[in-house]
Amino acid sequence: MSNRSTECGEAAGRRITNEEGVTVNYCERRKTEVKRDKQMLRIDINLIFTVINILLLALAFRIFLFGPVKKIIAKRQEEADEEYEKARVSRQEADELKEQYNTTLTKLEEEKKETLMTARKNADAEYRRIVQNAEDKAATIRSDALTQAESTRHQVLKRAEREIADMVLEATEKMTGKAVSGKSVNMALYDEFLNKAGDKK
Amino acid sequence: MEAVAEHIQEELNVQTVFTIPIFGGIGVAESVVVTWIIMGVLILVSILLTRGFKTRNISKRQAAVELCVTKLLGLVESMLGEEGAQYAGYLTTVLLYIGVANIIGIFGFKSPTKDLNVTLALALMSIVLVQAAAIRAKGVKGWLKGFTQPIAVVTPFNILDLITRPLSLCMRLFGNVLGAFVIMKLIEQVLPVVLPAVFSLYFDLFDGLLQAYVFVFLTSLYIKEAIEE
Repeated sequence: MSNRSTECGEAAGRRITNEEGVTVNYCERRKTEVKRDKQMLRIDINLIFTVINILLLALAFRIFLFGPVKKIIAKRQEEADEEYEKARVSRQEADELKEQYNTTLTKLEEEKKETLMTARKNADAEYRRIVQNAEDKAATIRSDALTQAESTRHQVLKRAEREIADMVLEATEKMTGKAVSGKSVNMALYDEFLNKAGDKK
Repeated sequence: MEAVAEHIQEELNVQTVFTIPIFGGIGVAESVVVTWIIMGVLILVSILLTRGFKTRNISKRQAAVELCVTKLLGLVESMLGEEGAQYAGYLTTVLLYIGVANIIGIFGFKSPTKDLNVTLALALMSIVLVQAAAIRAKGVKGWLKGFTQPIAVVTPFNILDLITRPLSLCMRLFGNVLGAFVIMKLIEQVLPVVLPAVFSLYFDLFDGLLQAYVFVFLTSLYIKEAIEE
């Protein structure tokens, strides 16, 4: 078998440099026509070649096809994991911040309430104080006014008494036609009269 | 009809594209050369598709590549189970390779899976992987003990499995691709328009991808079975 191959191979080898495989095939066929049934099922060194070819192809696929695809998918997965981790951390931080804000807000709210309450209390006290002051002042003013009115009335009364006394004296002088002697004695008399008149009132 | 037979025969033959002039000449088969082309295209496409990957604001291309690769690996991983997930890379490679190899006939190449060397190589690698996975999972002792499970009587059959499993994997793939090809050629002879296109959808595309799936599915099944207690 190897002898046949050699013969034909040499012929084919010469031709294949110039022409396509078809020509070679015809050469081969003519030479091996008699034994072609055997050649259809030939098993030879090409089996080894095929084994090497398949192994090479498997290696090449690993390097050029499966490898890059797996690598890129793994890398993408890694990046995605990283992103997720980043997002998780960010969310955690945000949650913490939110919690902090909430606490601060609650504290502020309480402080506000307290301040308001204190202010209201102060205001109330101030209000009461002012009102009290006003009331006190009003009372003082009223009592002063009353005292003054009393004293004025008293003075007016006194003056009126004196004037009446004078008028009475004058009238009496005119009626009697003479000057009342012993003015001081008479004055006491008038006073008595006046007192009686005042009592009648 | 004679011409058809000859054409089919010719297509089925495994041609030697060139010979490496050492050790009395090593003939490199067409299937190996087509495999190189498939490898080149797959690797080039992989490099082009996975260029400039970003972690955010990804392009539609990246989204599509990520989705496809993840789904493919996920599919194989789900068949392998949790413990066997480490073998998903190799099996997905096999899935892609057989898938492309089966349908590459559409582009005018001869499917490498029409060469017994290729299917046998794949099957042998599968069974080596299964045994290696078993040894890795259970240790040499556990692996050897596994042959007597569930009862000692089945030991010869378990040992026979070492041959029948790769053989069935190899022959299933080879036979399906071969059969699909022969049927398509015959259909083309009967009616060269419309009809082949319809059947091509099934035989070339669906069956090709299905066989790739079946191959990987069975291998995963064997691995899963081998590594669990």
